[in-house]
Formats: sequence, structure tokens, C-alpha cells
Amino acid sequence: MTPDRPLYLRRRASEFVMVGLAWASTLIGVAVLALILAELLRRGLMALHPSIFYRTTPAPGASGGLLNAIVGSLAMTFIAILGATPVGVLAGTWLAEYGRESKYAQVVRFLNDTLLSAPSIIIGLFVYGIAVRPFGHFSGWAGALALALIALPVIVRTTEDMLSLIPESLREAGVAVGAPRWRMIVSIAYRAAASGVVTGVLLAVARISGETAPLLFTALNNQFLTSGMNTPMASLPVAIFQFAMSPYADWQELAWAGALLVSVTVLALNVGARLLARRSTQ
Amino acid sequence: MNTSTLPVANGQSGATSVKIQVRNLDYFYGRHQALKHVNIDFLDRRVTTLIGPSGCGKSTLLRVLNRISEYPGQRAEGEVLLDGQNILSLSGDLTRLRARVGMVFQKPTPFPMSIFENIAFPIRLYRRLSRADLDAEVESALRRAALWDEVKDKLRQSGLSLSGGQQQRLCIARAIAIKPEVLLLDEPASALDPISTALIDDLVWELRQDYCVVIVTHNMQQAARVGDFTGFMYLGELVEFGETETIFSNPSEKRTQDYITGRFG
Repeated sequence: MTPDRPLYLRRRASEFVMVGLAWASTLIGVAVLALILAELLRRGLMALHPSIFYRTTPAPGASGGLLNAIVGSLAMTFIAILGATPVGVLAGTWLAEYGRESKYAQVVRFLNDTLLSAPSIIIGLFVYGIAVRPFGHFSGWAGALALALIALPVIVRTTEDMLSLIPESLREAGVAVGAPRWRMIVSIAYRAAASGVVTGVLLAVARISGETAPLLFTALNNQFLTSGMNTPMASLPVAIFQFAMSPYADWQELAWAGALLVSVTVLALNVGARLLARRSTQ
Repeated sequence: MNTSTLPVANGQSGATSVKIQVRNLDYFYGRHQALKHVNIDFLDRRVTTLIGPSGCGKSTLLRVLNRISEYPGQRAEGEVLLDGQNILSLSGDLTRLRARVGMVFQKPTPFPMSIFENIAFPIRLYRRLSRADLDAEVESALRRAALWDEVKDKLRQSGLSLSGGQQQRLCIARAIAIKPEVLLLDEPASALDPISTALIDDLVWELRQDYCVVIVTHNMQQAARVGDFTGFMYLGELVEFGETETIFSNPSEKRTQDYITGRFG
């Protein structure tokens, strides 16, 4: 039947208002992000020049680049991911394939979610307690450990989620041809979930490459390019923090350049992860 | 083995023997009893179809035969004798049971690997073969599943790139590649179009020359076409079991008659 005209008009009006509000809120969110990115691009590109990549961070009053910070970030992130990936993938595999809904698995899952949302400064303080104080000095190892602890729950969670998406019938089909359970997981489940698990690792890299707080307590900073992980180590986020707070214009420029580098890296990792995830769902 | 000549079934005769004996089988999902005192014999080199409305326990019965239903809270009581050995009392490693009792599922389940690897993976679980021998085994399995001509030029492509009907025949090829003695098919054609279904039916008819085949189906036509024997199940009980022709033309139970004439289910 035809609706009453006043009722119909009121419904149309409220739809108009609500859709308008939704558009406005979206616009506010996107506009803020666009402003930040535009300013970052403008200031960062102005500050970016080749010497950033081959000169180390300057002493007060001198000029320089970000070489030691870039190398430090790459080294600590690489080692952190190298350590967190096997542990995280195995833990996620256990949760999805063996633990499932058991009491113990539920406890592990809850603790992992807690670790996932723990403030990173707490993790920094924890690593300070176990890997800085006992040795009497800050080090790149301690920084990598702190980053690994932040990456770990991300990898555990995505690995479990990706394995949980595999239909039970595929597991049964693997077992039905006489494959032992571990063989089915390695040869079939991992293959089906591979791009999802890699996506999780990429997201973990993105997550830790911007972390500052845990590095302040562990790797601290270093004005020079270091030869080993056992000394205090520079990193991009800490360099940005240090230079952005400084009163010198050329140091602030270095901070903008560093911020641009970190943002572009994180953006590239996120886009890469998305492309991989899309490929896996096809 | 208690070999005997059985009555003519679906116009075919020949010597056969009992491959699987199910004795007083009860099955529980937690508190729910899904099978009630089921007794049935599956004959070697014969096709037995299990029919019945959804939830009647026919898939449960099938899944006990290779013990794929191994989940917490589920248990089976009674006996399932494969060549006289009770498979319910097997403990620990079940991979050798699965090597003897193959299974094809309702939805096609190609492994996420190439067509060739889908067949080679299970073979490699049991034999270390030379490249040439492995190629020959893969070809033979694909030929028996009537798939070889369609895939011989794209063996390196993903098994997931095939159509639904082809994927299901790939799964049948995979199941027979390891030369089982029994083949279980759980509604193998329910997700397929009529032409693919007919292909699968023909295939089952071929396979019966070498295997004890058990099929669960919702499709009366399929049951009548491929089954030597048919069992009608209802609410966890095996209501009636006999030669397919008898079950479809002259059932002794009213419930069987009602079901096959479409009065319920």
C-alpha cells in the first residue's frame, strides 16, 4: 500500500539528515589525516636530500644526516622480526590447530590479547629491567627484544585468525588421505594460510617501525654509526623525538625527513599487506 | 573370509565378500545420540548407498568408517569390523586406517597446490618413487577419475582453478591414488550441476569393480542409479536395508516408502 504522506516525508527527511551527518564525520576524519600527510610531505620533502642517507646524526651546531638512525632501525626491526616470527607463528598454530577451545588455550589467547594492547612504554620498562640493568648499559639487543615483544602478539593473533579461516573440511581431507596431523598442517594448512600469515608479519613490522617509547629505555640513542648490537643504538623514531625537541632549525628539518621516511615505510608495508591479503582471498 | 555368491543386484552378478561389518553401533555427539544400534554389512566390489532425511545419521555412519570424526565430546560404541578387525579399538596412529579407507567430501576440497601435487602429495606419504613412476601413478589416478584428458596440459596449475565438477573428480583421483580398499563418498554430487553429477555416477559405477564403495546421498535418482544395495536411515536408525531394486520398488517399511516417494524428508 502507499504510505501516509506525512510519514513518508518524515522518513525521507530523517534519512537526509543522518546521511549528511555520516558524510560530515567522514570528512572530518579524512581531512585531519590529509592535513597531517600534506604537512609531512611538504616539510619532509623539503628536508630530504641525499646526505640524509650517508651522513650520521650531527653534534650540536653541526650538520649531518640520519644514516646511523636508519641502520639502527633496520637492524633492530630485522632482529626483532627474526625472533618474533617463529615463536609467533608456532604459538598461533598451536592455538588454531591444537589448543582450540581448551581452557589452557583460552588463557593463552587472553594473555596474548592483553599483551597486544599493553602500552609499549610498559614493555620498554620491562625490558629495561631484564636486559639493560643487569648488563649495566643500553644496547641494540635490548631494543630488538623490546620490539620483538611488541611484534609477537600481533603475529600470534594474525596466524591464529588466518588458520581459523581455513574450512574444517580441508583439514579433514588432508587427514583422510592418511597424512599425520603435523604433516597436514605444514603441507596444507600453512599453504592455504600463507599469504595471510605473511600479511600479519608485515603488519607487525609496520607496528614496530614507529615505536619510540620502548627504545628510549632500551637502545637509547647513539650519535655515531655503531659496529655492533651490544652498544646503545640510534633509531629513526628516537632521532625524530630528539631533533623535533631541539631548538635548531636544521635539526628540526632532520626530524621532518625522518618522519617522512618512517611514514612512507609504514604506508608501503600496509599497502603491501593489503595486496597480499587480497590475493589470498581470491 | 566368508565369501559367498550373492543374489543378482542391479543386473550384475559375481562373487563378493563382506568388507565391513557394523555391529550394534551407537554414536553420541555429547548427549545427543546420532546412531542407534546400527547393524549393516558393506560388501566388497559393490556400491552401497545410504539415504534418508537430513540429520538421520547417514553422514555420521559414513564418518565412523574411517574414524574421521575424532572430536572431543563424540564417541562411538559397538563394533566396526574391517576385514574382521574392529577399527573402533584402534588407538594412536590412524593413518594406516585412512590409507585403506579413502574418503571424498560433500564440497570439493582440492589442496592449495597444483593439480599434479594434489595427487602426488598423498602418494608421497606412502611411497618414495622415481620421478617417472610418480608421473605414471598420477596419470593413472587421473585417468581412472575420468579427468586426465581435461587436465593433462595444465598439471602445474592450481587445483583451485578447476570447475566444481572437475575439482570433485580431482578429489576422487586423489582418494584412489593411494589404492584404498574402501571408498567413502559423502554426498559427492550435491554441489554439482546435473552433467557433472552424471559423470560422477558413471565414475562410481567404474570404481565398484575394485572397491567397496559407500555413498551418502540426498539424490534418489543417484541412489537408484549407482547403488547395488541401499540403506534407508531415519532418526539415527537403519530402518531398512536391501537390494536397491527392492528398496525402491517394493519396500517393506512404510517409512521407507513415504521417503522415497517424497512424502517427507
